Amino acid sequence: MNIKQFLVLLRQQRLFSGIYILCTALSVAFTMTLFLVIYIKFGPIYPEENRPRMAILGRTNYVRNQPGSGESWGSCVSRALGDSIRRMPEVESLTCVKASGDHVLLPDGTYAAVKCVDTDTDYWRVFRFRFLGGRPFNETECEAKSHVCVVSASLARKVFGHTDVVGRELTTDNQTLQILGVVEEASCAMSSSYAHLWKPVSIEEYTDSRAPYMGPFRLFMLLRRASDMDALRQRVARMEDRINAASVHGPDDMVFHLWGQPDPFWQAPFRSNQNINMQDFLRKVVSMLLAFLLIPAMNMCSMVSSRVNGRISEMGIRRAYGATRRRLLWQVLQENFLLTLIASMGGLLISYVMMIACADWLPFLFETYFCEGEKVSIHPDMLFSGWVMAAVLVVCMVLSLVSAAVPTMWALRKPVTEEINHKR
Amino acid sequence: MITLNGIGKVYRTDMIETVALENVNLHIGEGEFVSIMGPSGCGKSTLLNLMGLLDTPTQGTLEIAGQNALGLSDREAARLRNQTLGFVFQSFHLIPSLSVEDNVMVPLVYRGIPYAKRRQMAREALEQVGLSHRLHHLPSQLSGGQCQRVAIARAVVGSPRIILADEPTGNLDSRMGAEVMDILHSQSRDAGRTVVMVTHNEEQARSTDRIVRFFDGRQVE
Ligand SMILES: Nc1ncnc2c1ncn2[C@@H]1O[C@H](COP(=O)(O)OP(=O)(O)O)[C@@H](O)[C@H]1O
Ligand SMILES: [Mg+2]
Repeated sequence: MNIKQFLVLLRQQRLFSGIYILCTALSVAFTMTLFLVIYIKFGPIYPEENRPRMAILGRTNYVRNQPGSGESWGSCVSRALGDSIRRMPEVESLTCVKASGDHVLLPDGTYAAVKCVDTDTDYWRVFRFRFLGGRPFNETECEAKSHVCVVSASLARKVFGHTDVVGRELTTDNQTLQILGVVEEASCAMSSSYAHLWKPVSIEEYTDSRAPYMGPFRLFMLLRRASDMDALRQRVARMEDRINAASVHGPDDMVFHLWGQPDPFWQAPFRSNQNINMQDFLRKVVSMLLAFLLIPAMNMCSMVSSRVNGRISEMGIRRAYGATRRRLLWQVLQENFLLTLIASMGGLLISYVMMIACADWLPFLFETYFCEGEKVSIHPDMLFSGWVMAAVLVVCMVLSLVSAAVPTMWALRKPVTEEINHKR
Repeated sequence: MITLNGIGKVYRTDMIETVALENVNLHIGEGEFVSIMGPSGCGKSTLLNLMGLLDTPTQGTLEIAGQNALGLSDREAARLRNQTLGFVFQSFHLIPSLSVEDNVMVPLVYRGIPYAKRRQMAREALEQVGLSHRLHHLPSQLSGGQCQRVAIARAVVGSPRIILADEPTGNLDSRMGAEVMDILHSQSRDAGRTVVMVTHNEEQARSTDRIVRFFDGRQVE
């Protein structure tokens, strides 16, 4: 490819190039915004970098072993279930998480509502929080239900004005906690781990002897390999069968259901009690992609074909002097790819701007979870990653292929004389 | 050098059939400078395009430089055009987005000659046509005569054995036309190239080795 000619063409076809770049940039901007929304939802982003290896088990059901009784209890799961699954060979770590709300005393005597997590030591292995100071709580402190906690940087600032607060005391609704560590603030869009305050589990679990696996927790597990997912599911299903076989005798017994959980991280949001329903989500994404990508690509196809039209004569001349069809096709594709790439980078920038400007709702385009009353921050690792770059390149490739290859191949089928004498 | 046997060409567009050439037999020897004459629309350009593999005949056989030139693959035809043929068109057909120098380099690009060598060859060819002071201009910045000289430089830069020129002076005034004719003559005389030229100018035609006359798709002389 001839860069000098590329630049001269840009200048000579200023109007066309301008419109092409603008359309491409807009199309890429919308497509990439959609991609970023999905990436933020499922990609490896602080502190949920382990998402690709993460699995979730959040609900169980007990149904009475008596046809027609219709009695069924549903809830989150108990620590006992977590302990059983933690021992399975596919599981590297497993943490039981109970999210709640609490209130923290501020210097001015008022209380501020905070998001609070009751958990265990494995939490810090599944979620990779970076500590600005101090450390997470350890086994001993968990066993003893010590009054200790880890706080987020924003909470530390809110209460103390700075983050250098290890060893200080924090007063909540009903206790005083000693701060062990301060973690770097995560974005509120990281809905599995976002909180201000983490404490060792202190609640007494209420367990019904007929339903020992019901409880207040969601289980987040980190698999040794992402590919272990199926093996783990099967192992959990076998455990479910064993538990039921052992207990189900009389009509008072309850049958225990996990409905195929644990779910891989990317499927968990689509679970509604018994099954996973991704169809609505996929339908939305596909129709958006159609609108953002394919329809503009077709428009651009006609635009590029008029541009190719303007250069049929050049292609004829080049063929008269020894260019093969394949070589010319390659030349046009390269030129068009470069033009599309320039536009795509512009489009990516626009999508970054949109993401930051609409941080309050864009990340939650496909869900009902909102960070109510919180400012949603967009962190660099949500925008810059190999995956995002790869996606832009793919989008750019598709756009330039569809828009240039077809009209060029069509034009190159004619005899050389007709190309040379082609009138614009 | 070029042998046409029973060549016919029929253009079919929608319902209309145009017979552009009918049973043309012609042999052009190595180093010959041949003029082709005839009224407009009698098929002169068609003939030149067939000889140049820019179009395919509907009938007959064609040999170029001792090689059957019909039924070649795209790649083989491209190679033959690149190595053996050089074209000069009535309306120049320079590539508007390339500089003079880059236009002249086009045939060399498809020969895989490295850039520095290419540029040197293009400059030599442009010197032959007296344009070495316009290397970096775009075609739109040149006069018609200058454009045609660039086109001739492009046609000869790769030292092809055959030059096909379709009314090369048709768009030029007589002074510039004479300059172009001088260059073509020197290509024939000094470099020993075979030149086939379509012209309407009797005087120009008489200055060449042989005149072939056409009328309504047929060779009459
Ligand atoms: N691409 C084409 N399609 C249809 N008819 C054509 C085409 N090119 C030339 N012709 C016709 O073929 C005849 C010969 O044309 P041409 O070779 O250009 O004549 P000349 O160069 O002698 O003026 C003319 O009648 C012309 O209309
Ligand atoms: Mg003609």
